[in-house]
Amino acid sequence: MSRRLLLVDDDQDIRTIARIALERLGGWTVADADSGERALDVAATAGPFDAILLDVTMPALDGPATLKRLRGEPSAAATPAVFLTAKVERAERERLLALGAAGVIAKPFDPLALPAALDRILGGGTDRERAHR
Amino acid sequence: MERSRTRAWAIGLGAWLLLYLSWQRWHWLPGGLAVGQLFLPPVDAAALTAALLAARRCAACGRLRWFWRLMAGACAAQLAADALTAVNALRYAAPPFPSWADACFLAAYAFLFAALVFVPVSRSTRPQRRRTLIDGATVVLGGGVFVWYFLLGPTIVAGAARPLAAVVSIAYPICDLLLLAGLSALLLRPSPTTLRTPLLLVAAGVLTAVVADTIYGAAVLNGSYRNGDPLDTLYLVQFSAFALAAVGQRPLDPALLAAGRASRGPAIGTAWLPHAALALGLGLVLGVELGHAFFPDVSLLAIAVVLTALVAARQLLVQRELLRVQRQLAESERRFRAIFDTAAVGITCNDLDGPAIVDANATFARMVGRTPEQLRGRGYDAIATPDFRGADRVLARAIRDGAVDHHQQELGYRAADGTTRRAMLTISTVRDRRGAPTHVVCVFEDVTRRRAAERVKDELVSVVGHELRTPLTSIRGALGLLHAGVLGELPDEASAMIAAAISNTDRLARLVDATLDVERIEAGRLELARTPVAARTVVAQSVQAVQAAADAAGVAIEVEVEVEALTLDGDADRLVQVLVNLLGNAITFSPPAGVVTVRAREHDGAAHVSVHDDGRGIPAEQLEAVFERFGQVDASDAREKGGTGLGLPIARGIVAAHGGRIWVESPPGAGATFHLTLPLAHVEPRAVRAEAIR
Repeated sequence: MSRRLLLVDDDQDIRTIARIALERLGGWTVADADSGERALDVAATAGPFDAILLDVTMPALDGPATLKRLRGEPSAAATPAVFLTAKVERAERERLLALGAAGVIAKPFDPLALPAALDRILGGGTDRERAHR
Repeated sequence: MERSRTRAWAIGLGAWLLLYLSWQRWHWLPGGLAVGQLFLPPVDAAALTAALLAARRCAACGRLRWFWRLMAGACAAQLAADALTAVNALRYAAPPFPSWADACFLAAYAFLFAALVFVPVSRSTRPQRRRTLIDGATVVLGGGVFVWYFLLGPTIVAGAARPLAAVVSIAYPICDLLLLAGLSALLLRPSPTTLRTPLLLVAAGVLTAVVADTIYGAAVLNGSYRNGDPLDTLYLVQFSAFALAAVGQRPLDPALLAAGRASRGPAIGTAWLPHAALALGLGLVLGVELGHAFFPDVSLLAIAVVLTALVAARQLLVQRELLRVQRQLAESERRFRAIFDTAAVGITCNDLDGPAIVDANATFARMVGRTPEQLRGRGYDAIATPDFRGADRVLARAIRDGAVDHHQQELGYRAADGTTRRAMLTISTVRDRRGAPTHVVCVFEDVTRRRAAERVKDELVSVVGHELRTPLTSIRGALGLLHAGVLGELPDEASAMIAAAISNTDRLARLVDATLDVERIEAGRLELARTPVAARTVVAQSVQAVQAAADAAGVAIEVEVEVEALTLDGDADRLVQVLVNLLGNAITFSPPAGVVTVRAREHDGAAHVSVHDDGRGIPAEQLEAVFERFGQVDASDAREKGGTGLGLPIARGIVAAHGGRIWVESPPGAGATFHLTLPLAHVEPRAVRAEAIR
């Protein structure tokens, strides 16, 4: 059974590219949402997920706010979350990690390298899992 | 109102004078000649009234008020004297001389002398005072010759018999002469404009008195004087002039006088008074001497006269020239003042000590919400905007360092409307003929709008850059997935198309990134996350980043780090960016199978990193230009080598932000070597020092 990932980004193209890369190269099953609100719905109805990939900058409910709300969902309370952000400054990175994120991936990302980057963040276990596949 | 008042008085006094003259002609009053004496006291009384009114009008200016009060005293004394004279003349067939009337006449002189002391005059300069002295002497000497000949000489000869009468007779013309000297001294100095007409009228009165007293004194000594003589006409004229002077006196603002602004232009008497006196004295001497043949050699005298006349003519010319120059100077001053005041930049002229403001233009005054007068004589400290206190320091330092020619500095200041604005201050030196600095000129250019425009441009570049990045990311991502065959193998030609699209997308992305970097550097917004970082790590990461490109180009990279523990104080990512750029250039320009050498060592307390290649090198005249934006040696490089033309400017910006330096050396035929110095981290000062000593 493949791992399930919730991808939240307001940019349709980014979602498509990330989804294809993650599904084809990373062996993930990706459910996506185009906004923070939608992500909450998806998490409630289609959860639980093995990981959440969350864009920081979104209109209305942004990444950090979405994560905070997701933590309130029983199905997503403990799911490791990784932020996608265009701001690569160290301070910003530390702020995001302090929110309880497992890691931060810088935008723009190389789709070919995205699954590996995600696996590195999620830990050795998944790396091994991938190696066995 | 004032003009109509003066006209009324003039008509009244003129009518009285005509009345008196008609009596002189037809003697239409009963009684003898002595009745004519009765015409004088009313004129004295009129002058007294006018002087008292003038004193009241000028209550605001203390000195002028006292001048007119003392003039009133003189008129009162004259009134008493004329009344006594009239009584004496009517009572006695032969009035006594001297009498109490003469005491009153002399008292009037005392009042006139005192009055002159109180005439307000503007402060004059030393050359002005000197000229006043010379001109005054000329006036007194010219008048003196006149008085001497008619009065003093004969009196001294004839007066031995009646000493008191002689002394009193002499006293009048001497007093007149002294009065005239005092008045000419006043007329020769710059005086308030509102005082000119009154002073001229008083002087005319005194001049009339000089003539009258001289004739009177001579007549008394000859015994030919009789009360009611037509000579009295002159005294009548004298006090009419005093009365008109008083009537025409406009009130004077003491503040204007204090500011020295009440008197502009040369003194009234300067142009003609000395020459009039010279002509008077010379004319007399010439007339007397030609008539009496006192001097045996007339030609000698003629020569002396001609010479003196020449001197006078020259003096006249010089005077006119001076006046012309003064007018031109004033004109020039007005013109430059207009340029100064209407300049779009604020300008101040400061002395070297304060540095206090000597002069400020209207624009500067407007900038700081003051008037130029309020600024004069004060430092910028006096302007209560905190930032300008900085200007005082900047200025003092610039003066002290002697670096005051076109020294530039930008500073903030609070404008009159309370907003904070930016000004570019340019300091220059004003020097005297010998080149010694005398003043500094500070030009304040309001650059607030320019800075705002620059900020807008920077923001625009930043926003556009970020907006370009997002679609580029998607394009690159999609192309990457296609090219990697994630969505199925592509035909070879399609794959080649995708590869071309990828390489150009990458180049576009590099350009956008570089543009954003340049914008950050130029706006001073390059943020460095500085930590101690091993030089070895920075070099290794950089080499790793370009290794693929080097392999593709068949270029080897050699690394020599001399001090293993060499630790830099810097932003690791940014330093890698710099080195990657330098290495990328070196690889690009290396010949096939070339070698690129990276060296890191410690030198003079700083880290010294160099990147050397064996390429074609850089022409000497372009060693600086390569660090300019789009400053590639060959314009075609940008296309052929895929460079952005911004790499080296960015590298320089990053190195400069670290407090380091970057430069390139390229001896002909020996490739190119880029050098950079970077600060060392002082994590272990002891160890570093020990190393340095060894």
